[in-house]
Amino acid sequence: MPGHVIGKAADLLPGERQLVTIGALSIGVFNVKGEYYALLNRCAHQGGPLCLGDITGAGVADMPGEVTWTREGEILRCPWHRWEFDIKTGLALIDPAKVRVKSYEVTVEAQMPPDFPRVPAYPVTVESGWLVVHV
Amino acid sequence: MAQQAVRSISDQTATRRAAEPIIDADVHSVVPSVKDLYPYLSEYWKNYIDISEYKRPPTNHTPSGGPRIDALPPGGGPAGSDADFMRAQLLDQWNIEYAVLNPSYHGVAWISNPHFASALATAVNHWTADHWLDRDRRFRASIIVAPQNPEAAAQEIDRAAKHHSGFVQILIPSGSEAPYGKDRYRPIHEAAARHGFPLGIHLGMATDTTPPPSPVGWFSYYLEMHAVSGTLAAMSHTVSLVCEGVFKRFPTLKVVLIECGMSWVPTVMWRLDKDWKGLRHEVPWVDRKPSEFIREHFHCSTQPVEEPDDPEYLQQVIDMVGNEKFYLFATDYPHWDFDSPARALSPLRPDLRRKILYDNAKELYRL
Repeated sequence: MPGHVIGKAADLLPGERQLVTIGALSIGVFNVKGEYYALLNRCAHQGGPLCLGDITGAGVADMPGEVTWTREGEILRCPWHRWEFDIKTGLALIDPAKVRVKSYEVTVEAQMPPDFPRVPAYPVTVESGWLVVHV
Repeated sequence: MAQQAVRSISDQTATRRAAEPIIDADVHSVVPSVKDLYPYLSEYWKNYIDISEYKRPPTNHTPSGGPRIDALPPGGGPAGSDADFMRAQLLDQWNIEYAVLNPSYHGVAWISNPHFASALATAVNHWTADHWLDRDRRFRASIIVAPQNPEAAAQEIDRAAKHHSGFVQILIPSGSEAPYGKDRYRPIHEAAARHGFPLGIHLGMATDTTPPPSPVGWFSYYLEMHAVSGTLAAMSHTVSLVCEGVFKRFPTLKVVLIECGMSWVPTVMWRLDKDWKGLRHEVPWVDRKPSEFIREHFHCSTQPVEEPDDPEYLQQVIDMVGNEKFYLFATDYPHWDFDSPARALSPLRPDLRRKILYDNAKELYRL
């Protein structure tokens, strides 16, 4: 499977994300606590721009009112209908057995692989509630 | 005289007795007068009733449809007040193996004095045990409680369960001060679950102490209220019980929505599931699809059965719910909108009809 070089690992810090277009695919690349993950930027529900959603955690509860906050920084919430996905696996919280968004492996190579195409990746930041793509 | 004539015609034309036995999940035993409850009320409450001229619990804000004309007992009294006449006209005539009595006093829920309401509830339950449950082994009954006084309601559930093994369910009305999933009702959820009694929520709307029969206010006509109020309330209580996590606290609790309509269930399942998929974070204790909770914990009685122009649609609605144990047949005897056991479910597949007419209630009420 050909890989695409999108940039330097050091340019994508923990908690940050970048958007990259590879062929026809729009893909979000995330640094979650030092590890890198990539998800298709198309929500499993109605195709919304998933990778522009909040990077957040998930409340879980066994009993009403007793909520534990977990997985901070590991959850992506779609900006449209708020479906929650695990960034590391692409699995949807509401039905991990059946609902997922496509996820891709991201590796960090010590040497830039000469045969892999280079594609530009654009950092995405959130500034005062606005999503900003830095081209 | 006219009533006599009507009755005898009705008896002659009453359709063939069902070949197979039926369980009727909603029959109304009627307290003829509050004086009939005096043996079960303290001196304090008898005096209270006398000096206040109290007659009966609050009723619908519009005059209702009344009883089946042929159900007025020959010996006098309101329809549904004569156990022997009911046995003949309902149980014997339709081969009803068990009838779940929902006594006419669920309106105690709308009495603003919570102590009075609870005292009346206890009195009605005593009256039911003495005059109905001991009269015919085919009768079972719901325990009337005053939900506005949840602690007292839980105590009454414990008392009635110990008093008579013929009690099989708790009964509260659909018209209420608050959605029934709210935590203030937890003592009732807990007691119902502990005894293995389904929580029955029966159509009923009053003027006095509860919100209007619709979210947009008071209707002019009984027709309007009858067509939608039970359904609107049932939808509200259903989403409340699920979203408040009542079935997480009490995984064995069952709820029966009585006379609140049949066909609304699939669409509420779809809406609640869809919204929950995005709003899960607000109710994280709802840890799987809300429709699964509805399918597993709820039942609806069939009466008044919906009668779409294409009868096939009724079968499709039941298929959409996805649980053949969900619906329970009921006649609602002696009310005007009584469903005939012989005709009401005729659009359905025979195997499903049998479940609805008999098996589902037999299993739920442990008969």
